[in-house]
Amino acid sequence: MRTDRAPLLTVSHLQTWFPTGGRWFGRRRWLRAVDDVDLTICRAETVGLVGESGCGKTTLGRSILRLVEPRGGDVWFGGIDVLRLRPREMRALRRRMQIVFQDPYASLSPRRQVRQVLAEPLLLHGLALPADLDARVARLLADVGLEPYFMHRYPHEMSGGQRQRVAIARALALEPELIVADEPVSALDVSIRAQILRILLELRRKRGIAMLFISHDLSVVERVADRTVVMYLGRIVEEGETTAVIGAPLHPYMQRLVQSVPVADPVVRRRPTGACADAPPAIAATGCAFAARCPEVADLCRRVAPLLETKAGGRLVACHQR
Amino acid sequence: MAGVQRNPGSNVPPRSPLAVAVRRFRANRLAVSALYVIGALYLVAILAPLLAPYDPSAIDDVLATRYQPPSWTHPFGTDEFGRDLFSRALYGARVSLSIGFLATTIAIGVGTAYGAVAGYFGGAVDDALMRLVDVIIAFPTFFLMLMLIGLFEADIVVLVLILGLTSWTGTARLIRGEILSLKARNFIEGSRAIGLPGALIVVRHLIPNALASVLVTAALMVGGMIGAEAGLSFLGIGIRPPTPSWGNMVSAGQDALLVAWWIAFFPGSLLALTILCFNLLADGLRDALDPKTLMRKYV
Amino acid sequence: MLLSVQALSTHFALDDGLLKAVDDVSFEVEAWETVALVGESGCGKTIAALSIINLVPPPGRIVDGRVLFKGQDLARATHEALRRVRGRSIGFVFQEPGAALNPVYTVGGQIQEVALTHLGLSRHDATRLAVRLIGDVGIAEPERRARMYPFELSGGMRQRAAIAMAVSAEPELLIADEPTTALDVTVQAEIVDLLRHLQDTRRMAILLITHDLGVVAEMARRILVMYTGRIVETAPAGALFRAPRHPYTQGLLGSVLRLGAGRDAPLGGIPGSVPDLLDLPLGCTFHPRCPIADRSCEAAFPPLRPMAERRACACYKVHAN
Repeated sequence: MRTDRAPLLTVSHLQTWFPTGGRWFGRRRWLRAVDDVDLTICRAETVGLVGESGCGKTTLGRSILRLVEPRGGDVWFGGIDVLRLRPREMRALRRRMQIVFQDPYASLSPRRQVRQVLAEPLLLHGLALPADLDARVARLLADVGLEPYFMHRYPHEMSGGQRQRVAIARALALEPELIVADEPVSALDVSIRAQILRILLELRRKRGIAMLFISHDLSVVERVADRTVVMYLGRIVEEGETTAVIGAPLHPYMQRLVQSVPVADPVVRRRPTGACADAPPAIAATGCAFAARCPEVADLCRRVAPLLETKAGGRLVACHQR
Repeated sequence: MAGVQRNPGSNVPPRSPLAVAVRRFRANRLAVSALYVIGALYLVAILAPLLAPYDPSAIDDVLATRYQPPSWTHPFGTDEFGRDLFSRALYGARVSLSIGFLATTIAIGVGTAYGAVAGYFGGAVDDALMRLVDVIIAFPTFFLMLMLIGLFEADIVVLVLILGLTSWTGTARLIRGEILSLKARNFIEGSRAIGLPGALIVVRHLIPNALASVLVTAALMVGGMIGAEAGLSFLGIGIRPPTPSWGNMVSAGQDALLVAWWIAFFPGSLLALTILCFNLLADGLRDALDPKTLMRKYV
Repeated sequence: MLLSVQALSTHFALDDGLLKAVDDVSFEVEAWETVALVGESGCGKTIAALSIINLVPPPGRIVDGRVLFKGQDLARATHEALRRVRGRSIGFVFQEPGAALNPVYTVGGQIQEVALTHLGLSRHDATRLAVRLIGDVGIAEPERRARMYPFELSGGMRQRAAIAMAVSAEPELLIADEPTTALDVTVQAEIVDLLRHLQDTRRMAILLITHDLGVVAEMARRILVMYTGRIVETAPAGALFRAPRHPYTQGLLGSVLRLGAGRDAPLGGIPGSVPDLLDLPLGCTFHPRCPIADRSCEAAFPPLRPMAERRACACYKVHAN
């Protein structure tokens, strides 16, 4: 898949922290959901963002769209400094980057028909005249493979897969250049996922839409993403071309992740994991965030946080042992 | 009972959540009966001047007509002044029911707006607004009411305002809670993502989804307001005679309870019936509108 | 035969119609074996599991069939008899990690409660048992953790604690309803290993309810595939993955994305979506989405026909060769 090498989105040193603990008195403590993250997405490129719960991938996606406000760092989109925009300018920028959520049940307002859901962005940004609405909505539905009669349906009258298609249609309504897809198929039945993935792949092929594909499911990311970024506790630990990162991971955490994926074949036996070192991750004050669970941990790892460094083949890894 | 996630074919007409709720409500016979009773009471109250056989304040030959037990000419009997209690009850309905409705409207209106603003903005705005609510709640409302009633003469308008403006805090908290939990739902983020301005998000997305709680609270509150007015009037600090209100009618009948039970009995029963019906209506609304059961997946 | 479910039907009488969540389902579980009940949304597997221990939420009711556990019909047992079986002979693990854990009691305390109720141990012995179990399920520092509350534990630990509770009375059958679905994949792997370990050491049978075919491949000896409340195929695990017979099973297995299969490998998938459960298609409920269906599939739902290699398949187009 040829991607236009011009970067569309550049994120640098992004930090999104959430306050936790003492508010009125005492020192405030912070949850560093996104901690010093750099990321680049080129036009028509799909970047996979993987990690488990609490790694910050969801927060990163939302921070880029300013659905949650970062406390530091920069986000450049098409040459525009996103974080410094004023509300009205931000609203105009929203046309160009959209989001699709995980939960098809929660992403649509229960009281509105599909027609209203899809018409809202069109009318808001002056992209359609009220007279054309039905035609435009029908076209959007067709883009995601739904018959026109769906425009009169309410969310509770559609299946999860159909709802997710409507969510994608809504994201497409404004003709964005970037879509942040946050676990778009995780809540769907396995046999339905293919339908949604095909739609997303088509978007890239036919319209050149760039995508940040956030998922904890490596097998899905492998099919969809050109490059893959691995996060752990707010930081990027590995990054590179998808088949390489997933096929031959370098970072111990990513290796563990890949090993743990169950294989749908009874003949293949996974190596058993060790006993649970699964303490609720307290963010280490110093050193590597993965030190507490790493099988290759050394003293240096506990003292100094490793930086993301370039290795052979354009791979980036943050690990002292590599 | 509950709804299940449906996936109807193209030939099945769509049904809005409202339609689903109406159907569920209709299936609840108790709630529907309560609604009919309430409707009848309000209708009767509105038509009181046409329906009342006598002028509620008419005093004729007191000695001949006082303390008469219920009969064909006086279905609810007469009181100590010989006034027809049925007519008084009809006019009393006007007072009690209108106060209930209007006070609730004010309380719900103010509370919803306040709670929605606090919930939507969150952060410092929310903190400030809610601390104010805490202060108001800590205030002894009853004494405040007494004080205000002492300052202004207690007529219907005054009572409506006083009752309404001292009762909005509960609603504010409830709505704020609903809005906070709705805000976390993805479809609100989706609205922000397409650039919808905050005010529109509140009006178009948050409030309609919080409406269910509002309606249920409102139904309960009307019953509560009717009871509150009755209580105040009973104590003599609400609506004062000769204007009839169910509360002051019960009060008047207190002394003669053993001799002329009907003076207190009928207004008292009407009060109980009305409040009960509003509670049943609230229950029915809550069951019908419960969003969780709109699409529960059983399997 | 430890568990024998015969012609089980559990229906829900709703305003909009009759929902046949489980319809004429029969299967067996032998001692010390792991059987997986597999299917997607609307297939009825969770209701089937709840029906076994007669915990179906109203307005659901078991309307037909028998659930024979060691010869006793649980569908018709008295309340008292059921209470003795639940927890003691049949353990249940729910989908939400620690959904069975009451947030206001310590973890150790809750496990103790099971031991006290069913095993009649003294409080002292029950405490020791609870701590030992917490250690057995792989939670480090069991004495300290036993005194903690559920919210202080991570999702994975909560699920381990819930499993400890489920196995504390040494049940012969453990029903695990999507035990790994809500967990991260690294934790998931640990839970699977834990369940296998417990099964070996305690000689438990496991009835695994899940939609995750990877987990099924790692744990199950036999697999039952469900669709819209009915069983459409049963087979030993190896045979099913190697050569699925029913078109739905084929579609399902074809939809599983394998890691390392490459970017261009087919995505699979089954067209359409699960039908409206209150308005099921006539005949075979899968026929509108089936690649090999024809008019004859619209008559009646195909019976589950036994085939070679201890398999069975409910499809008119599949012949028992």
